Amino acid sequence: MKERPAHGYLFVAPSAAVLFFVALCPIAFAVWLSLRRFILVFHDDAFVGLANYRFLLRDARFFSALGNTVYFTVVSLAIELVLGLAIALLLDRATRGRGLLRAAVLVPWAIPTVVSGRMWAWMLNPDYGLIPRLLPVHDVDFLGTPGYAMHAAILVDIWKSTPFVALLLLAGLAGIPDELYRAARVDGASPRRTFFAITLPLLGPSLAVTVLFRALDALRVFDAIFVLTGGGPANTTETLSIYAYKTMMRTGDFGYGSTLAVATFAIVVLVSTVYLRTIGRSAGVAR
Amino acid sequence: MATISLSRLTKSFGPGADVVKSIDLEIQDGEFMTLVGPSGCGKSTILNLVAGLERPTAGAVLVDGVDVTELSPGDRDVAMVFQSYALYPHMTVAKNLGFPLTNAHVPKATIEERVRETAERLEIAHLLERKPRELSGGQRQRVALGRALVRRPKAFLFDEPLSNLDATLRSQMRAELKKLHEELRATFVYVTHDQAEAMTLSDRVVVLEGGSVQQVGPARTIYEEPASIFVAGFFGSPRINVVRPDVLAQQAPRDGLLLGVRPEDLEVGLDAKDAAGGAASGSVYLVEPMGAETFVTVSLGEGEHGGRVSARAPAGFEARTGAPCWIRADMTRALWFDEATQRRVSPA
Amino acid sequence: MKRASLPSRSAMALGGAAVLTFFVGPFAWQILTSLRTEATVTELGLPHALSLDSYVAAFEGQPFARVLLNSALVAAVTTLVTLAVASTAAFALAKLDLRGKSLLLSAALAVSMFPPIATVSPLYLALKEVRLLDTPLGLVIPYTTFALPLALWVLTGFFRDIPDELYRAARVDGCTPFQAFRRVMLPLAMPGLATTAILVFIFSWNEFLYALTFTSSPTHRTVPVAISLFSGEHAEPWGEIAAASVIATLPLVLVALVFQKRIVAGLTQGAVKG
Repeated sequence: MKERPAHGYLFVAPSAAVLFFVALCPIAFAVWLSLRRFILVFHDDAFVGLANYRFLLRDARFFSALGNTVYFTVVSLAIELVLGLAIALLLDRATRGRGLLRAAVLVPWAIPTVVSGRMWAWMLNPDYGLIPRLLPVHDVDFLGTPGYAMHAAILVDIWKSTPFVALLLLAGLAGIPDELYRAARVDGASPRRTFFAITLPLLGPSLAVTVLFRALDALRVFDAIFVLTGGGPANTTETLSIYAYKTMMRTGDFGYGSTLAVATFAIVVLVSTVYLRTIGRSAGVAR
Repeated sequence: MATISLSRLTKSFGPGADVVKSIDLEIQDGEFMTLVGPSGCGKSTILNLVAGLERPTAGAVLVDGVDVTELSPGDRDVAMVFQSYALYPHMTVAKNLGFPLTNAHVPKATIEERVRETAERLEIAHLLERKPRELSGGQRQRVALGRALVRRPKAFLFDEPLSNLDATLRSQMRAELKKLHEELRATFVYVTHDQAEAMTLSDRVVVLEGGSVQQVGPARTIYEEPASIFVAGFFGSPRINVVRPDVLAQQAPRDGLLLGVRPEDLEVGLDAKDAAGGAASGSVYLVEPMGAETFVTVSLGEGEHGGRVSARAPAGFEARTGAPCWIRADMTRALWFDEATQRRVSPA
Repeated sequence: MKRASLPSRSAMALGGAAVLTFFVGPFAWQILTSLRTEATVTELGLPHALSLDSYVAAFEGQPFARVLLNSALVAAVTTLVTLAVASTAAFALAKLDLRGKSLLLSAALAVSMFPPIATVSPLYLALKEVRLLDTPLGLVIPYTTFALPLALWVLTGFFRDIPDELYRAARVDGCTPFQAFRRVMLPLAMPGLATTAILVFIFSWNEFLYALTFTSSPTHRTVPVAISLFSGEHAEPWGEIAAASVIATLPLVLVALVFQKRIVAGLTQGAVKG
């Protein structure tokens, strides 16, 4: 539909302006900051070139945060996919109670991440929490013990994010024409064969999109972990975003904090680019 | 190849929601049997019951004398061609064709051979490595056929397979289907709402309405000896004219009868001189030139069975709207219907 | 009738019950906790007596009512601004022929992929300069920006679904593009706007990082920040936290339940078509 371009641009101008000034400019500014030594409290501001980045590459805490973030992403994503798919299948097939089930599944999504963090912290509290007291093992401080804390954080994320995964996959399932299932029955395919030969392959694009979204969210995770463990114990749940935050707001080092933030951003972009080039293309995700 | 019998087949979705009402039907081995009727008449449901995609509320389905009512679709040895072809979009044509065989655990070499053989027969061998989205409508239709053929089933079921095609493609595929049936001499059960398809393709036709059989028989018989006004009206385009006899200046043999005359059995003329005995007078309402002939609608009489009547006229027929004209029925071809029962009666 | 032959009814029922327990359970437990008397807060079983003590206490220790108001204000303003800005753009993206469409969409996609942490420092400094730190308006600006990609995706999808002919008919009937947008397309896109409004409102209400960073005084905080910083004189006031959580989230949960069809449609529309 050809229109005089001028009108169109007017419609789009406010959005473009907002995105440019409030999002893209700050990013550019953050990159600029990352090249400086900038400590707010001391009014210390000097250009240091790539010094921050050189430090980054030798920063053990950075790599620890990176490792935590990757571990968190991979594990929660894997579990969310399986669980989400199971729930999507359940929702797809449920004749009665579908509304109730879908409502139940939306509850975690509607609750602020911070609140869910608090909620689970309460349930996992070593002294008063529901879960330690229900379990046979009594002396475990989930949030205070290095190994357990990360998995508690993953549990919270699974609770919070599986609904989103389930809904996306449900939409994908709904997109598979009913006729294909009928044809498969007439063609003598067992339910198991139908699932693996027809349902799963046709769910490919939805799965690909879901994985991308969730992975990006997980790599940037901040809220839940911050409220749950604050990055502890002993930085074992410290993710990239939390490390960057602490550097900026607790230490006041905006320079290196920006470096960390830019590094996080670069990693996210890298992952999504690689993903879109390889898996995305073969699964038919249009870009 | 096999016979298919439906015995008191019933499908109901609750009290008062009977979709299929106790159908009894015998389909002969190698016969092309079409189930035809308006939407909602139950024809697709019957097909699903035969295929095993739905379970009957009562009654039985027998294939070759064996009761298959409790068997799953895959075990009944029937194949189905769907309206939207139902080709698996992520599989190549070759994989689509081979799918039913892989489910039956047929050895790989046999599958490859049968697939190639079927593809060659349907002239789609050059498309084996393509995906469905790369194919034209007609090609997809052939792949759907191929998937059915490759199984060498006892019977072929067709669920309105031509409805999604455009007119030219439809007549082409119709011809191909008829040829295929002649070659295979297999049992074909075909569902359509298009009476032209029913007429051209079938050995016998089952006319359905509201879940019950209205008439069964060869297409020609159904056309010339319809059992009821409904059946008469369903076949033939333009529709048969059913009027009070006096509207066409005719006398009914007895009371309470309606006269049914097909458009091709009516003659229309403008010049009063040509009107011989038995012609009624009216005026021209609409003239529709169709190329090879012209459809003329004539206004006559009033009331429920008066009104307008359609006739077929020679290609050169021309008239203004409102022009007075005469119209005469060929009474040797007339049909009489009882107004109360809506069924056809013999004139005597 | 779908392929209902598969998992038996009882297996599905069991699965359903498990899902219900896992997803609703914690929230139900929180509600329960909030209704206990202060002394019994740490008990396991069902409470003998229900009490609103925790709710009262929640408002006493900190300016919680003010906090709720802040959140509501910020979320409402963000929603309105976002809708206004995004609807015109979405309409243009869906219906008009523009160069640079993919540029805008790519920019929106890129923005949605930023780790929020990356923009915290520049925005902090910028807001400090214009003295908007610690104010509701200071939050509306970044919130709108980061809600924009979501709004654009969802609304563009909805506008695309409206037949082109309606826009063309309006133009033929004498409307300028903006009139056609305002009188014909916008009313038809109401369901999409409603859905987007819900999603943006929930997003702003739940946002944590910026709220944490850009506000400092207790009276200017938003709900998520306040809840994360709840402190009592003695140990963690779990009862109060529970009560505050319930107050903060019950409206959202109710909105989600009432509008679930819309929400699901909006989320999946944005994802599947984007």
